[in-house]
Amino acid sequence: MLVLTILALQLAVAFAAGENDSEQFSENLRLRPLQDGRLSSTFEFVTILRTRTTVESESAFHEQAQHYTLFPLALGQLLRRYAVSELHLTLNSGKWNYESWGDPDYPSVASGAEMWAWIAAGGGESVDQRWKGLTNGLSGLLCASMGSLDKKRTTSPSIAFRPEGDLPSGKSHQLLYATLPSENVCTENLTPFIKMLPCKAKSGIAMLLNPHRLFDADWHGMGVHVRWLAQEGIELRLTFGAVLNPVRLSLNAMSRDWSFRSVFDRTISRPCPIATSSSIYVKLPYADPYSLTPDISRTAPEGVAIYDLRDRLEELDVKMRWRDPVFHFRPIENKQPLSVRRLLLGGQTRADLSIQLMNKENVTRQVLWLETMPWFIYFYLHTLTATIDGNRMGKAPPHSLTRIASYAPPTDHKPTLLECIVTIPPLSTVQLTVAVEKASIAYTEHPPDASRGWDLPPAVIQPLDHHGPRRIYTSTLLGDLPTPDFSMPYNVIIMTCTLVALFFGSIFNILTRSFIWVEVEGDDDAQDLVKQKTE
Amino acid sequence: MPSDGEDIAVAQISSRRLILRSYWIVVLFALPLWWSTTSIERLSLPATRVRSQQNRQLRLPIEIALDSCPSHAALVPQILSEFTSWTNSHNDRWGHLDVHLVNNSDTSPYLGTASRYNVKLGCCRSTCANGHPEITLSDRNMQLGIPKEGIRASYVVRTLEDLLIPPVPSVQAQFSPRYRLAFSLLNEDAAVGGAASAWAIEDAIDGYLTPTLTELSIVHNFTIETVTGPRTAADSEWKGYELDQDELKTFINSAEWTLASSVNNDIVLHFILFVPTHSGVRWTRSSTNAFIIPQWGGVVIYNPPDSRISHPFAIFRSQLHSLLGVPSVPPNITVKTDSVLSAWQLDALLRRRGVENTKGTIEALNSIMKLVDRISNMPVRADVRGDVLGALDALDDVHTHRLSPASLLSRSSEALTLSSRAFFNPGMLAMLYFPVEHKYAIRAWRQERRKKSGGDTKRDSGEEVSKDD
Repeated sequence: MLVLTILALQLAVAFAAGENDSEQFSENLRLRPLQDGRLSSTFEFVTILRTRTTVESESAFHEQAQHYTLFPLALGQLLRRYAVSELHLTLNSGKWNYESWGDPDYPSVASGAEMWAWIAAGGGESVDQRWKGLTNGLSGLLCASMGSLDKKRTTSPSIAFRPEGDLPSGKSHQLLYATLPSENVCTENLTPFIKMLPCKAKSGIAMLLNPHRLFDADWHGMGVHVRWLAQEGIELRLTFGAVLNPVRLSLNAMSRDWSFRSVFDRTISRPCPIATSSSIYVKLPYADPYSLTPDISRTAPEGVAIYDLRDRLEELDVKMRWRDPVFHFRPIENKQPLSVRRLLLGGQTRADLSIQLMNKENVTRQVLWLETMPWFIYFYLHTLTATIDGNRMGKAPPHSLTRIASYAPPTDHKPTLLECIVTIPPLSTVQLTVAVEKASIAYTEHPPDASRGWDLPPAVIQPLDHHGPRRIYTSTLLGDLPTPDFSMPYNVIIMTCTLVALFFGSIFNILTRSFIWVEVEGDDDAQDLVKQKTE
Repeated sequence: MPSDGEDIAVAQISSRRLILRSYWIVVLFALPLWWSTTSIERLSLPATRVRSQQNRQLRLPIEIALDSCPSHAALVPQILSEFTSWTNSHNDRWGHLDVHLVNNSDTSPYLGTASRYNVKLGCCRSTCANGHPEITLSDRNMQLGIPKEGIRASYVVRTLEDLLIPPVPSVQAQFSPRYRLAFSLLNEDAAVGGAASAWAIEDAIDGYLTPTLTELSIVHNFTIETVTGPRTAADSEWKGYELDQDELKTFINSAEWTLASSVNNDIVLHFILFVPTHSGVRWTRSSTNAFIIPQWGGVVIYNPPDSRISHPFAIFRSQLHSLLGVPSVPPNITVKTDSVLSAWQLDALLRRRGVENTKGTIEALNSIMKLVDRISNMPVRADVRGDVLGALDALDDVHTHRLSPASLLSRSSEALTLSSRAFFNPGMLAMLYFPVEHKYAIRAWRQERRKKSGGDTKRDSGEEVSKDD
């Protein structure tokens, strides 16, 4: 019988660069020269895992064997264990400049760490417990401080961050959103990121992931995006974006010519055989004369050159040369239909938060303004005022530009959440101002560099009319809080001085002085004296 | 007004007394408050009970009923006496067993069927004509066919020893109630053509491992995870075709390869099918091109058209057996059973793991006691105390009750879990501990420095004086 089973289960290791039915991997790189001489690059590695459900209970997690071929096992297990149907995690560094760089390829460009996930409820474990396990697991997986995204930083917006894929039916899902603006992305995050790729950095587009150049870029960020599509299965997108600066890298030449060798210090010497598609897209400039080598294999109608890596055997080093060898900085053409600016004005305890929304198109727009703040910042919503081009608007409905969709006050050390729907009239600027109060927090709650202030999360502007960018992030703010002096000698001196003043002073006083009643009899002189004194 | 002055003086003295008295009263009442807020919660641990565990000898009861066909009846008393002398002289190996060797199988089981083994000495049938005894195991019975030439009593005793107390494999992994088995397919370089890209692993697991894992489920629970994609073993240092012993140690670069998920803290046993770029890689010491990394897992090197490997999973199964410490049956014994493991093997494994866990528990408890004794300001909270008491109760059960092998293992594993949880309780690390020597050393160093700096200034001033002169 044993012999029979051995015969039946012949060695079934397949040898081919073939495709697997249940899992698929593809990769692409988008390059886009920007008007300020920079070069935007976005690496995208997509793995699709078919016929899998995400939601599991804890007991089922242990019972069922898990088989993965291309999908990173460590991430897959985390998603399964904590019943995560959709996950978006980004670690960015720098500020995305919407005015001169346009819309990013991936809308999540908030500085620092941002994470949002749709987690299934039920199954003997609360969503908060699952979130905690997920954040801790991801911080281990990516060597980032996701573990500090605890309930002090986590909110559940009710309008923003709708699922980008489908949610498995039959289970109720909950959205959790958290940001960590002070988190930085660096080499220690890129190394585990590369480990999740099936070809690592040994072949294919990932060969260009050179930490020395990527972390030197003017803006860089990595993302892990997981969503579930009813027809496709689980889709994992690992992304890395960098806004490189060829003008700076060319040193004194001031040239914006670039090549893989010059901006990444690497070239692609061999394709990743596992990828079902492996392409490089270069957005072709329309105004300035240029030349692109090697010859383009294909051009898409919208002015994008496409290089297919799969049929290419020789080394690939894409080069773009401009006719003008020296790059001259020109005034930036801002083509963004909507721009946002946010300010925090005021002192350490009372301040005004003000956000300016500029609509440059001749249509009325509706946007969602999402503001999440740490628990010590209170909004005085009754002070919310709106002005259009400097003219103050009333609060009655015909004049009202704002509608508060949801508001969660900061109770029990949970963050403040404000979702507000703002109507912006055509070609005008709306400025919203709200008074905030910054509470004093316990001395243990201050960060180690307390006097530097708190990094406050960016506001998110989400157009509700599905026109234009999906999300716009403002820059982060630095909140100045009343901080105690944490220096130890100072505290010791203050403490001892207080004790001495209180105890020694009062006791010495009582012991050395005597308090007696002085009876003043019918002595006119004395009474006059008292009168004079009281007068 | 002389009387007023007197009154003042009297009032002053009495109020001064009152003030001074109340001052001391406040200090007196503050003392217990100060004491209770600054003292460390340090519950007493059952020191005598822990100490008494060390001298306790675990005696697991086993009953062996010897029966023989009439022609070999004379062998039975010989076996009995040989057995007694052998077990007495090899106490280190037999010490934890309390064996009752009974002459007749007709006597009703004294200990219950779970710990009773029947050994039947019979005449050989035609098959063992070549002079070797024929041994067959089925359930907890052993049928021993004696050839015409006869056998020696010591042979029976050694056979029993091999079956009841099999040797411990040196690669055996640490005990854990749950293991994760991580199977990975790794290419030396997946970018080169001809790399292995898929592996029909689900059928292989069902066919080769599931029966074993089901039977072992009374010892451990298993979770399986596999990664069988065409992955590259990034930057393996090793180059060449023949691996030697030294290269095996560095063969697995687990920092570079993500082989298992880190979703929980279960012990992971790794099994790797490694496909080199150029076929013909051999490990010099093995005919199957496979090796075990002790306590970590197994590796099979697969050179694509390889006739020598029947199936990697047959090798993985035997590697799993060694890593879990499953005893193997000596080659001259046939096992008649529908299952993969015989009751003899499974019992021996359960007993061994039970004994190991008991030893481990006692060691952990002793370490806790030592640590708490040595570091006088280490807090001991109620949870630690509860865990220690729970572990001791489970140990008492193991020692006093005549447990079946399966319940012995479950109780002893409970004891081990509790004791290690107490040992690693984060509450015991609430403070920084500096040994007294360390504190003295710092004080001495500071005094030295002060003295030195004092001397330096004197010398400096002396020089200045001489310059002035």
